[in-house]
Amino acid sequence: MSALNPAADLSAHGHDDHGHHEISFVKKYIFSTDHKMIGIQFLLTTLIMLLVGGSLALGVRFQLAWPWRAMPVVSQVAELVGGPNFIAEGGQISPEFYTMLFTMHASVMIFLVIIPILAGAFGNFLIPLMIGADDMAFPALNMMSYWFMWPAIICFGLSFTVEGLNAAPAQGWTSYPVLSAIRDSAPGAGDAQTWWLLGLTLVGVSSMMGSVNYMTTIINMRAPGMTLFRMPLTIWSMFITAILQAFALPVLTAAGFMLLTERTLGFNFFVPGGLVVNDGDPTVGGGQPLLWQHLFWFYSHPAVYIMLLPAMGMVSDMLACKVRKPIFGYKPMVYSMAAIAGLGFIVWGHHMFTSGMNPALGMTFMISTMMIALPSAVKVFNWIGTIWGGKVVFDTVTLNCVAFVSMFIVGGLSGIFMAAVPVDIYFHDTYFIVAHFHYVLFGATLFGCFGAIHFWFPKMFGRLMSDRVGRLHFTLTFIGFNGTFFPMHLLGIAGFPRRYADPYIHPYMEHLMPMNQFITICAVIMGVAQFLLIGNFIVSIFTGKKAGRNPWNANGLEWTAPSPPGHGNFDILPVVYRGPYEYSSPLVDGRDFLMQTELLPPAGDAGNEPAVDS
Amino acid sequence: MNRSTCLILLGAALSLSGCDSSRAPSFQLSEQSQELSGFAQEKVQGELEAGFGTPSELVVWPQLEVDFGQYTGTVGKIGPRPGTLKVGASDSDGLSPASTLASISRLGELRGAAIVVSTAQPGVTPLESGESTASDVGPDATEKADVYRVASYDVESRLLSVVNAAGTPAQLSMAEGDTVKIVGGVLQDGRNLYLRHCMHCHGVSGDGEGPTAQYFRVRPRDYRQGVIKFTSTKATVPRPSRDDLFRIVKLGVPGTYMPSFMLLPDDEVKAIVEYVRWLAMRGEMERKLNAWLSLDYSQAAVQDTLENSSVAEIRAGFDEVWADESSGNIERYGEELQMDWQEADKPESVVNPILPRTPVSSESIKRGRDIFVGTKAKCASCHGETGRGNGPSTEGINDLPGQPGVKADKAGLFDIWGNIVKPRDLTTGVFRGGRRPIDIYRRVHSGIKGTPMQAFGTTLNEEEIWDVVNYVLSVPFNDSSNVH
Amino acid sequence: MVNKFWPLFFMFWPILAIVSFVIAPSMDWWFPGPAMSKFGEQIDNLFYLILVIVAVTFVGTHVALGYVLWRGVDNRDTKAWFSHGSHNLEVLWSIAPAGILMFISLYQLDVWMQFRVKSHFPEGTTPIAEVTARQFEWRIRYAAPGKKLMTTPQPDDLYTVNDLHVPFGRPVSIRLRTMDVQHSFFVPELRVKQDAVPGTVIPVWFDTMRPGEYDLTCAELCGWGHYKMRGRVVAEKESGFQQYLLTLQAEQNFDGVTRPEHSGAQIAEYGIEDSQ
Repeated sequence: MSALNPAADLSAHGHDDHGHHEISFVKKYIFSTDHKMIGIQFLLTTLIMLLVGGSLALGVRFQLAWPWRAMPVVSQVAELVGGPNFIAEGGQISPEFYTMLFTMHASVMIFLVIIPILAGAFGNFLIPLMIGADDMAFPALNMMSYWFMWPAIICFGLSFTVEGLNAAPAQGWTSYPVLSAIRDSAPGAGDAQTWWLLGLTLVGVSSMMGSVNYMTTIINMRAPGMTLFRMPLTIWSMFITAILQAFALPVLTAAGFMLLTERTLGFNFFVPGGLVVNDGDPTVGGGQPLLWQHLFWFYSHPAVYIMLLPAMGMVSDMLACKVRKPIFGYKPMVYSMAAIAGLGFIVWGHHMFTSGMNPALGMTFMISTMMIALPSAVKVFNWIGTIWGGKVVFDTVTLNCVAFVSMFIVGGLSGIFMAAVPVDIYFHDTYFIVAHFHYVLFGATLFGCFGAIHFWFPKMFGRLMSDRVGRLHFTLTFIGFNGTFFPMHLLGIAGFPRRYADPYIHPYMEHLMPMNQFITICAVIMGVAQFLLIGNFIVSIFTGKKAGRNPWNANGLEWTAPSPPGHGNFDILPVVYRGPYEYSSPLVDGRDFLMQTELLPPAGDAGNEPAVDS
Repeated sequence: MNRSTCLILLGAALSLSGCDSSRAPSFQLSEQSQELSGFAQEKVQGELEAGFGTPSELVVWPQLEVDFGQYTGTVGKIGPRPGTLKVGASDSDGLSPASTLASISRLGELRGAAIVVSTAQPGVTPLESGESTASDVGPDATEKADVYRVASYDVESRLLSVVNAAGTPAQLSMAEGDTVKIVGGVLQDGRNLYLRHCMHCHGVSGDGEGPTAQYFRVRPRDYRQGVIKFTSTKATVPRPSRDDLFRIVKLGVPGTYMPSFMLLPDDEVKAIVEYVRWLAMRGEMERKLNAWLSLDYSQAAVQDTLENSSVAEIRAGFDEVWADESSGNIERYGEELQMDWQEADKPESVVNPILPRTPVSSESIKRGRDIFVGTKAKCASCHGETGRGNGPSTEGINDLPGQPGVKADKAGLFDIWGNIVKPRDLTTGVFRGGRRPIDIYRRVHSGIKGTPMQAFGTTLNEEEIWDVVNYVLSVPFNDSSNVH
Repeated sequence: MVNKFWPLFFMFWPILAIVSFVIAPSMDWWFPGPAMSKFGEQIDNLFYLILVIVAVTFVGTHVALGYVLWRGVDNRDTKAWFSHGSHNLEVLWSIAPAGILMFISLYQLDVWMQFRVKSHFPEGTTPIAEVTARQFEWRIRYAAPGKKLMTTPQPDDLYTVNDLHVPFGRPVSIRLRTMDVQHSFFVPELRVKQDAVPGTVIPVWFDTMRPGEYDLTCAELCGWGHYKMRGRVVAEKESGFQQYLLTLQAEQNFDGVTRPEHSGAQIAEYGIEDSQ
């Protein structure tokens, strides 16, 4: 046995040449520069935000199921606070509050949950561990990327309260001007919108810091032997995501500043002249509202992949480990992720088929959009191929990963309807869209994240999460999720538009109220189930079963480090001899995993490729 | 009139949990009422609750002899369960107007609703005779009329379930062919529709202070003075007619946030109109009580009196005054309200010219233009030489409307609700009160109520008004160069 | 067979999904009626084409997923199948979907061109009305009967709100604009949707196959009252449409003396004091 293989030397815990110099509480847990702590900070923050965003969603659902009834919690709070709103109306919400609910639901979920949980939490935690680095390339920058989240959260929070409790941004998360550019155009288009834009910018700054860090770290700090094509797919996905962010984000930041200056300094980019909004004076100027849509979606479509690719990568890793099989088609997986990222930059126009842009653009965007379905399909086939012939044990991680694949298929297939421009004429801005992106962002990404939380939790805290609770959480979430979002396809087909506070004033939608009530009940089940996750998470930190270094018998570098890894991560600098997916390798007997760092005795040459490219 | 009786209309509770009264919309006291001292405020509140109830339990003030509409039908089959009956002898006739009920029961809100009055003999409608009094409709009703409350009404099957005052299924003493009336049902429908479509801007109390209203540049109408800007009634008629309200709801007020409710069925709009009228009357009643009490019993007045008398004395004095005068006053207020609102609906109250519109010609427009800028009507002093709504008075200190001699403390033109109003910019071609010649005619003839737009019906004769109308309608199509 | 629970679980939900789609039309969870325009029929056909392709793919992938899971839990071997993939399979499942996707997208182009590219509009499509969206209603302007709709308002133009009348059976177009923020002209039964963009006038054409009333809604967030923008498109015979315009004209020129000719229910809705 080689001394280079720490997995074989589990007793080496005390032997640690990086040295555990004592650091203060503040430096260790708050302003930490350790990528693991930052990752955990991101994870906890996003889990809290998940609850916030979920509650906002339940508010939306309540209104759609029982319009203008006293809204639970909101009405009680209104009574407690004694605020002017909602009391005289008997606790029911007002229509503008509804627009605020869905605007902030989307903003919180996208900018404060999905993006940071993938890149911020798992990216931070996993990248150095998986490539065998002792930390990120720029630890201080890394710390700042977390601490820039908080001003963003505060800005979003302020946007809720700055104009009274009833005036959060209400323009939708897409914030289309003219609605978002003219202060009088809607409740919440005043200071609240300004704060929202600032928050958005800060989230962008945070992501940008992260993305620079990830790219540098992945390029420069891989362990000896970790060639690009020996990197786990998680790292590939993080790498590609970082590139996407680096190129797409500046556009959104610029657009955000343009809107900000238009709102506060009187610049004119988006508002054309001659509009009479809220019975004010006609606007003066020569802006173009479609410009915002182009800029916004130039970021926000790649952002969809920013919100998806890391989950794809993590699921690939978890799935291979859980079915004890090499990933099926490693290189096609990498190429298809790269293709998604590349094509992701030229499909933004499919959000704008009905926007009135040049119809010729509609055709090109349709073709590029159709083509982006191709790499996604390849990935799905590869995941199924990975399970094919594997040894499947259904624990929480496996369940979430399989759900990821299954949900992603639905989300991907429903996307084809929208990619087809003529069909999208009908489906644009109906609940079909809502169903589609929830299947992708919740069904795929969040199930992937749930799996990842359970999978890497032992590495974070040295203990295992309860599998029994995990499976219960999964089951309830899965049933609640499908009960919530699958019927939305049907709502969309029935022509049910998004963002309606009271759709039932339109006779053709009246009969859809029972379905909405069903959806809301399912959403409540799903929401309540998340407390199982939170509870399991917190309790397991203290009482979970102790996990060794490698509780899953996985191959990756992170499993050679102690659980939790100390400062500097590895006892010994790992050296990589092979890719991360050599499960069930015939080269070793008696076990079905072969770690990346294991140097096999020279009996057969096949197992040991040269440690360093030379 | 039978409907002058005190009708308690139990509304379906709007809260999910049923009858949680703290979770139902509620009427708010007006600002003036809140300035009254505590004991007077209590009385006003009590009187309003007794007379008008709450949004979930509507009551019609006994002194208010106003017809707020009703639904009628005939009794078909009795049964199948106790307290249920089928409305309409044939499949086609249910309660009419059916469309309203249909939409209401779709909302599931006729539960616990109104009162059913049935007559024992078909064709005889004793309650319509106008002779009966409050005691006729009550738990101890006469033989000829039985009073129940609606438990539910299903439009499809036309099955009506009724309960007695105690809430148990009623023993029905009616036969096939009797007349069924749901009195107050219209008002209740109006309430439901109002709470769904109107309340977010106009407020539960009709005070124009709904939750959404705070964002508007042009404030939603506060009904509580009973004044509506755009009416067809003469300047001397203070209230709008039902038709005016109907038209506003149907067509909206262009150029403001009041949207058109064109596609609400007429019955529903009529129900809303009834409810708005009722809300306005409630607000006026509150104002009248305030006007009576605020001189002596506002907080400030009580504070002043405290120098020479104790709280108990003031209180006792108030109780005495209240006991002596309240019933008489309230009765008088009711009569006033009734008269004012009835007058608005009389055909002779509507402004209708005798002469048809002068055909549009450059001469007529020229004459109109001369009147517009001339000294007789002084239109330009507000609307400006070019009709852009920027006349000199928009920048000066003006009298408050309805209070000659009382100067505003700020520059600009004010309406009686305290908002600054901008005279119409005629070049935009947007006319809030409607764009028909008759609409413009009426604006010029009787002004815009509650605003500095005066009535010129006495200053200008019909031909002159028509000339002004022709000019006003031509302004959007003029280059300003043509005018000068 | 406890270990088969999860494979069954993952096969059960797709079955539910399929069942819900199969019963949806009969439960009225489907399109708000069949397409009422020829153009809408084309969209529906494309929809059903994609639906079939997607359903086959959905079933196929889920059967495959269920199968591999089913086999996976049964795998009694000491080790899983050691395979890094198959180049041939990768090529196959890249090219096959590519072909299908290409087919779908090229197949759609015609309909799209027809809908949006002005030179491909059906012949004889002339604007009959200008629809101006504003918070929160549809303001409609017609030319006077017998006249052409001009781009700027004319003194004899006719105005109405939320109630767009069109002759049925031939393609008509509207000039879609907005007075304030973005809106979207959406008539579900006709399968027409087009955003109204501030500062731009967008021609939108559609046809109606049958006379009737079709709901008009707004499909682009336009503020707190987004849901309130309820309108309708009324398709009627050419003569009825002309009559409607005449009625509107009479109503609009009403001066309180010359009684407009009453015809149909429209007038009663529009100016009720005249029917006293």
